[in-house]
Amino acid sequence: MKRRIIPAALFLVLSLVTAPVLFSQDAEVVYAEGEVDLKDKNGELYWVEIGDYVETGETIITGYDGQAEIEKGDVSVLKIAPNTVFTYMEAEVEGEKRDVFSCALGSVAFKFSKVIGKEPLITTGSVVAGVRGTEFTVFAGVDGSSLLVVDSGEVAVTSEGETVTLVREEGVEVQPGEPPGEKFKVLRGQVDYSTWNSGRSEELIADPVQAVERVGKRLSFFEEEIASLLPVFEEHRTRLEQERKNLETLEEEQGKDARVARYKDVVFPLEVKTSYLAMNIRYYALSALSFRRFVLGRMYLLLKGEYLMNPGAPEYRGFLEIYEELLNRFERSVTPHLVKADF
Amino acid sequence: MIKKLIPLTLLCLVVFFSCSTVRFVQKEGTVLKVIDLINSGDAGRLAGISGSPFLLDGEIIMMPGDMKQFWEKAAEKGFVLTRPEVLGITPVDGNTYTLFSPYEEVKMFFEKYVPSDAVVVRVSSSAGDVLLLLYGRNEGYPYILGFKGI
Repeated sequence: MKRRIIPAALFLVLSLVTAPVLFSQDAEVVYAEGEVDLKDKNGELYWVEIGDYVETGETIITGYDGQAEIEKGDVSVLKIAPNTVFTYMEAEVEGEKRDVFSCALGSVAFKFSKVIGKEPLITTGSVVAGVRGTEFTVFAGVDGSSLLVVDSGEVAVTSEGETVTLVREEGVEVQPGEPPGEKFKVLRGQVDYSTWNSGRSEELIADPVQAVERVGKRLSFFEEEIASLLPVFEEHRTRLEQERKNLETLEEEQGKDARVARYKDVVFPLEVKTSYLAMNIRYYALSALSFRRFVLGRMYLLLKGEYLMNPGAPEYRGFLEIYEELLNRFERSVTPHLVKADF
Repeated sequence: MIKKLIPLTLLCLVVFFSCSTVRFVQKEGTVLKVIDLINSGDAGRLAGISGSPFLLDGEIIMMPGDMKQFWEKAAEKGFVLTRPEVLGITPVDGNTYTLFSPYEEVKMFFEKYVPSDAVVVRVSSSAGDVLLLLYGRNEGYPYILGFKGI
């Protein structure tokens, strides 16, 4: 049943996304150095070159020696640091389509000179941040935690329903599945991602069970969002199908003008709403996949290496038990909303 | 004479280019060379022949450099496969993914990233059985697309 939703949803999303004037522009790569790959919407990997465009749904992955800078129109500049996973997405928030810049791993520095229309959302695996004419950096750690540091302007950081507003020279750390921590003062350029991430890595190795439990909490959030949207989407899709059928009958009975009026007043708004619902299901599914791949997957890799010679260690067994459960859950609740190209 | 040779040459070229995808057969000797690399802790060489993405057990490793880090960690921890014995070399098919993981994403990994001439090699060792997913050849070594075990 769920599998049938994807083609219909994709069609609806695509049919609206093809109206370029109404919606967002692609982002252009203006600088690239070292290993910088782009995973496109078909799931193919390419080397990134200066002048390439990043479309919604596409991901930039930088290697240990890779970095890139992208610009979106003349309003935003994003500097993607080495060893980073950055995805350009879209979601519907309060009836409007919003750009989403997602950093699943590594760090991205954002500079917004001005914002036309609704400001973009900035996300990591563990937080959502809203910006207002600002310059700030997002760090996404190996254990799924996030660190946000503001150089200028204002950033509202939300996690688990709680919001903290950061202004110039303030920062906050957020653990996955937890509300934002205490704000702290930080000077520009004072935070070093490698040092911070090493600390996160040490904490993960010291207590892998706690780390994977936090990841589980965050995955639950994505699962719950998908589960709550699905019945609403189904209801809208069924109603839309019915309304489309009704249009034909209406034209036969009352003429073309009646059909046009009905389409404008009822069917088109329903199409928009249904496509937004589909878009958000995709958004949460892709966010969950990103979190599963670049946080949970890398946690597994790190711990597997760490415990290669001692796989029976209780803390590692404890991690594996929860890890397996999360994979099971992911397969049941998220995978049905993904397509081959996503993997 | 030359006129007779032209069709023959063309025929040879057609045959050559139609078979231009060389299929390497993985033999026990090349598998053991990979095990030697693991046992000698040559993380640099192992990283060089590790595919990206890479399948580690049931995990698809996407980040460039992550497998280098893993092989370095394995070497640091003294991970070795002593008394290795190749138990079987099996071509991949539609169900091979289940040897690594039962999940859809690993099935997709095989469909998207694993060439049809890849093989799964089962190796027994003092550290237990491991699976290697191998294909092709690079400077005398097969590419490693996946590793499972321990």
